[in-house]
Amino acid sequence: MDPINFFTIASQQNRWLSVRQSVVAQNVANANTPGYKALDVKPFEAVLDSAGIEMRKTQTNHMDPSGGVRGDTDTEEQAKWQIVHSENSVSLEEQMLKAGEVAGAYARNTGVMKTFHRMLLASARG
Amino acid sequence: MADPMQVAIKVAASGLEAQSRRMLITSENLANASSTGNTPGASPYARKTVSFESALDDASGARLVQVDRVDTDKRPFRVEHNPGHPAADENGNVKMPNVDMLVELADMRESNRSYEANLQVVKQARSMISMTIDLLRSS
Repeated sequence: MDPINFFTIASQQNRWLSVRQSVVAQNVANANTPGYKALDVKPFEAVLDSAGIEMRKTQTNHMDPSGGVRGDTDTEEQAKWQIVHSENSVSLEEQMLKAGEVAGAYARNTGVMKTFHRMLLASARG
Repeated sequence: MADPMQVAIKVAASGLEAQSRRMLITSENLANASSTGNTPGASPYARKTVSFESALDDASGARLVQVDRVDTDKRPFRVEHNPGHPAADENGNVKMPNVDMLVELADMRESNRSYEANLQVVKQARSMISMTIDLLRSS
């Protein structure tokens, strides 16, 4: 796998992580809304798998089939940790855990990206 | 589509707003826990309740939270015997507000906790944005 592809995957995962963070924000904000069901995004593996088969633009006046990102904004109802009388299935502890997970993965991703960038710069400087 | 990070902050901000409205209602209830009427047999302060609903944000497709409506609690008023009170009826009974301190305090604690959680989301989203910006710095 050539290193340039790495940047594609890394930025794709960062985009996925930021979508996940906004879903967590949505769950936390609606933690006291009656009838609200907690959501989560589809796992990143699914995004990677679906990224393989993509229609190509063969002419300049073709429309971009994906608009850049695909698959990563799909949300689904998640398995429930707890459910209260008002039919709300958000568990704040779980959401905080998830937010921490997302932030950690994001930090790791940007860290590796920075290292790669430094390596590219080092070889470019000679 | 808007930047998901900005959306996250926007959603969390709507949560902060809703929880602070709830805190306002709680403080109203607590402050008026012994507000009676002035004329004989008059109704005292009725406890207010607040309920939330999720609202779709058209620009981002995210589900914000907002205060649905503020109702008054239907529970009966407490009755105290106090013949000297201006609101006492012919039997000397005064209707007191149906505010339960314990319930209000528990409610306050819960909205406090939700507020903190929303704030935590804002902090985390901000730190993630600055991580991305830091990619441009240094090296």
